[in-house]
This record gives sequence, C-alpha cells and structure tokens, in this order.
Amino acid sequence: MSSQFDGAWSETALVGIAAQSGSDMAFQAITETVDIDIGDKDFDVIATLGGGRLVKFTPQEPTTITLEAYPVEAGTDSGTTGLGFFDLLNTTSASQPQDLDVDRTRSKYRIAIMWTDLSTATTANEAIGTNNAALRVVAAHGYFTSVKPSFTDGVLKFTVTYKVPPFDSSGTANVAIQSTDIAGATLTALASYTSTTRW
Amino acid sequence: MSYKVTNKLGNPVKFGDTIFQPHETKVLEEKPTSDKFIVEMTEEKEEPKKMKKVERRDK
Repeated sequence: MSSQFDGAWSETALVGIAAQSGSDMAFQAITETVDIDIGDKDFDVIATLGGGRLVKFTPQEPTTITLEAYPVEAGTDSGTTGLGFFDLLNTTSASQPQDLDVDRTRSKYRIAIMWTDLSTATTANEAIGTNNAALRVVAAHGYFTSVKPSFTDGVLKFTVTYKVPPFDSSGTANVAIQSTDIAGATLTALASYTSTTRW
Repeated sequence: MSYKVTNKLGNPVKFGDTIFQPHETKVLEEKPTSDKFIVEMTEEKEEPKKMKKVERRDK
C-alpha cells in the first residue's frame, strides 16, 4: 500500500495498534478516516493595569485520535490483522466465539498512523528506507476511551477514540511525530511496544 | 494432554471463561491457537519403572 505523494499525502494510510508485549495489528483495511487531535499547548493572557499582557502557560492537553471504521467482529482474537475494537476497551478475547464483557479493565495501547510512498509497506510500524518518504504519528501508553457503533446509514460504522496524555508520570513523552524525506535517512521501524519501550 | 499457557500481553486476556492476568501462566486441557499466548506442552508424569525380576543363579 502506498499513499499518493504529490505535494501532499492523500488517499491511503497505514494504521497499527499494539497491546503491551503484543504484536502490531493492522487496521487500515477496515478504517475509513483518521483524525489526530494533538493536545494543545495553550496559554492564558493576564491583562495588567499598565495595558500589557502576561502569558500564563497551561499544561499541554491530552492527544486524541479518532477512527471511523467498519469492523465485522467484536475484537481481534488472534493474528496481526485488526478485526474489531471492543477488545481494546475491555478485556481482550483469545478464542472464538468472542464474548467481551464490559469490565473495569483499563489497558494501555500504542497506535501508529503512517503515510508513505513505499508501495510495499503494509504496516505502520515498519522501517522506510532511503528513496522513500514517510510521515508517522505514534502514541503510546494511551487508552481507548470510546467505541461507538452506529447503524444510522444502514452500514455498521464504529467511531473509536484513543486518548493519551502527552507525558507519563515521569515526564517522558508519549507522543512522537516522525518523518523522512525521499533523500533522507531511513525511518527506523518501531520497536516492539512494552511497558518500558514506547517506539 | 495438558498445556502450560502464558499470556504474552501486558493486558488481561480471556480464553473462554478463563481470564489470564498480564503475563500469567495457567495449565489448560485445551490448546489455545491465539498468538496472544505462549503455549508449551506439559511433561507427562512418568510411571515408575517396574523392576525386572532377576533369577538368581545357583552357585
């Protein structure tokens, strides 16, 4: 799969989701849209009596990634192809039939979205060598907060929301944006996602 | 036949009615096929070997 790259990325993208210590699962085959709302680094303005303005920075907001997708299963019981989303919100199932109960589990996931002109690329976590361009957004240690199915238009569409704070409790970044140009160096593959390795 | 099954993930995983906590190992009678698990066959208990009767030779 390759995105069209003629001044802008268009048409296609790769979407990968990984559980901690799990394989990256490719979701682009069932995903229609991706919206990435990188957390604002906003500030307030304090007006002084002398007519000046003081800037008061507010801490960066969480990043939210929203997918519109058309899964046909409740979750992904096995393999590296994403089949459903409810198991990202609750305890995942590893057998058929899948029976995903609503629970209090909060599981951390990594999500990667990549645009590349490398025609053989199939996963959002793979390396992109020289002579090819790519843009990748990766977020780790975040949670799926919403999985909403809708059948309004006569097709079962899911709106899925992933939310991640900009940093962990130690101040380490949870979000990265990576790219390489055609003449650039290799964009390295993402390392396997674990509790200590983000990308 | 039984299998030593370990949850590979850092998240809980359900196999049928059995819930595996992150990286937890359990012994199951059924072999899971999901790549979320590391599956090893448990060793069968060996029956104690019967001693062969050795006839004493008359001197």
